[in-house]
Amino acid sequence: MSAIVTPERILKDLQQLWADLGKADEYGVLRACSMTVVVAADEEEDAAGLEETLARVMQRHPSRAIVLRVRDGGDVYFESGVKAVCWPIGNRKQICIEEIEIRCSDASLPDAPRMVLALTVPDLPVVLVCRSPRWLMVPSFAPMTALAGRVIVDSRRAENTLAILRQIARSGSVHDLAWTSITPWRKHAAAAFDDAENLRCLSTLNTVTIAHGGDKPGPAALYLAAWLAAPTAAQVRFRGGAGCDLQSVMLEGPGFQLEFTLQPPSGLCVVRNGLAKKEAFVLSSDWELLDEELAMPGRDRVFAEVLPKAIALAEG
Amino acid sequence: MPETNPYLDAMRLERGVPPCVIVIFGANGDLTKRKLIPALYRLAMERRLPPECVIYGNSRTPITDEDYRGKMKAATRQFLEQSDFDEEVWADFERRLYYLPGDLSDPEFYATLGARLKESETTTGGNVLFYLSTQPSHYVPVVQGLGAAGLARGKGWRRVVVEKPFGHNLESAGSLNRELQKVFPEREIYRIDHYLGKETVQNVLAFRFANGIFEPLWNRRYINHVQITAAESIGVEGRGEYYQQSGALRDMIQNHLLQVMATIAMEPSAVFEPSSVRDERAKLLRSIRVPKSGEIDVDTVAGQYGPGRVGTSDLAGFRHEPGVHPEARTDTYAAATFFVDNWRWAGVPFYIRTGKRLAKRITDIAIHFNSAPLAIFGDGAGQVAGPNLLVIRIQPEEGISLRFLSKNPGAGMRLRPVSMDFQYGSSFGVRTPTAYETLLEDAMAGDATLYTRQDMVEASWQVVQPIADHWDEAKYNFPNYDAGSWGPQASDAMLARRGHVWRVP
Repeated sequence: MSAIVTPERILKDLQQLWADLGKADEYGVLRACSMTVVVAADEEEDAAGLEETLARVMQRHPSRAIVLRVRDGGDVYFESGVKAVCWPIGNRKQICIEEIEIRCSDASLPDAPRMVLALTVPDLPVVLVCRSPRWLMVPSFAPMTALAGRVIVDSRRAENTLAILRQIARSGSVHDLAWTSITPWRKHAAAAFDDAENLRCLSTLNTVTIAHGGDKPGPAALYLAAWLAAPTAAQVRFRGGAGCDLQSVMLEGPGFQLEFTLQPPSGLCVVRNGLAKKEAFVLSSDWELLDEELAMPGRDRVFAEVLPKAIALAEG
Repeated sequence: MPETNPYLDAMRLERGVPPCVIVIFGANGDLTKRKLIPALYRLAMERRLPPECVIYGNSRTPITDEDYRGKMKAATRQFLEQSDFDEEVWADFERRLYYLPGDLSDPEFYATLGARLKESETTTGGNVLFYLSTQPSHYVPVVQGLGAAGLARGKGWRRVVVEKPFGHNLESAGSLNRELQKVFPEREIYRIDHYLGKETVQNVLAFRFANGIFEPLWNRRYINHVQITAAESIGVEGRGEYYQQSGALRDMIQNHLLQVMATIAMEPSAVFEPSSVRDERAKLLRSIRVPKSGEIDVDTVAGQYGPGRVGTSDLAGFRHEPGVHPEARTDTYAAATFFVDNWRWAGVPFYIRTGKRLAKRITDIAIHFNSAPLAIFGDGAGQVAGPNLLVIRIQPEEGISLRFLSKNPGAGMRLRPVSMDFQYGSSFGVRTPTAYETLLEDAMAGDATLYTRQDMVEASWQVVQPIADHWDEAKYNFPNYDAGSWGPQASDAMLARRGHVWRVP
């Protein structure tokens, strides 16, 4: 960790790092970068888990990663460090990406956006990943969200769902990993309506029931219900209980019943009018969710349409 | 009732491939072992092949399902590209792989096949993809056999994938098309040109039509000429008998390289949909000037490799390859200058060369831009050393590079060409699917964008046929290039006539 923390100093450290790497490897290293990914995390968050997520995601989206770890405290505090993460690509060559870690206190947070802005790679997209949606509520963090072309939050573990969803809607270009997490459910539901007979029944659909864990539906359950109900005039019902966030989905209409039930660890039972079929179902891990979101080109129009409907459902 | 599925979300949800039966004719052939089965296995590995899909391999050799699975497992291990072999995935995959021995001229075989297809109907909805991976002489008998047995129509869709060559000349191409269309409607005939399935060739469309800065330069005002090179360092590798019947012109230029040229030169389509994209490609192919007999000698070059030495290896000449006639007149090298008669490209030469036993394996497209109108830095500065050059590398190391001039550091104004490079491998950390993965998945999904159409096949034969006829009659002094070289000297002379030189890729 550097004693003096300025963007110039960090960039100099980076330059030195690459020079050293080049000298150390007789075959040279290939430096790859397609965007800047800024990750905001609380200091007490699982550092090893975050490292692993980043290492895996970076192999698919080679980027300059800037990890901002913030700790409680009223003192002025900044520390930084740089490192390269490399992986082999054959022929004794390797690709490396660079990672900058900046640690700061709550009190120093207002100075962080300026620092990060100076460290982004010119002319390439900047993506801000907030491990917790609470960052969206911190006023001193607002310039950071403004500098990113794309902000990704994870509302899955948020306590006040409605407030978070409203904040996401207000922030404009924010994408939510809770929405990304329902892609496998959406994929199976969409595939079911490739069937002409099911498609014919869609206009008569009158109830969408989502079974979820906990007393109240979380963001994922709300998104899924809003998305499923959108092209229909169906009522949405939630059924709380023990277990994981999303457990089953039931679509009903006169003479039509289609139910998807999770069968851990990797199955989904699809029952249509009493006829059951088991399909493979794979829930995405944290790094896979981030990978999917980083691969999205531009604005997610479907999410933008679903979000206000999910908020309306949360408002009851 | 909604007409289309309102839950489809092309941005995030992958296109669904419906369950189907895949029947591969020529199941013991090289293509099946090297490309088709490894590609299907990769699709299964990535869960892109629905679990209900069943694969039947057909060939004459009477072997059991178990033996066939063993052979294909060994082949997949050997030929799988950029991927590890996973025993568990294979175990699941091979449960859906069956072998159906039979003689393609025997109606009994088609009856047996029909019964097997019927058995799978409940899980596959009756969808069947027939893949002709046999010798070309079997294409028509197989299609006729399928038609006679009523297998070209069924409960679900029935499609046929045809491998090149689509005929050996214009007439036979027309005849093949007519025979195919007697049994299958044109929309269900998928003529595969695996070059179009290559990620980099598809990226040409993205590069040209998704970026605002290149398309304004993409015409006769700014582009001086285009060079397309498809060089192989290997010889005929045991395919001598087949190859001496076809040659480089028919084997590569008539299909792959004219398709690549069409992709480089076509007009943008209004929408990215199969018929629109293919219409534009076809239009471009029809705009290629058909060479007149007097032009063929100066604008085309045929070659055949003789013995040569590369490093410490002595390489045999074509006529000494196994299965090749000692006086074979086959072109193992072909180069041609084409012109496109439209407003965009009038007067711009498109040089195409392809050959076996050349100096290295490389396929690329080089767009040579015009020089700056005035050399203000003077000849001594090096400004004449290189006009801008855009190179699209198709294989190996897919990518794009742009060459431009830069000032040498230090005193004085000396210029030197430098290169800006984009490499697929390092910019996108994901594995690039092989062309056969892409094309097989497209065929199952009913997307024919990357497949060639009857009119495209016939348009490219229109261009190539006069050259082929002329070469068949001419008496060339073969061999005329050494194995391991960059081809015959006449090829350099062909470019020199217009003041150009082949770049060394």
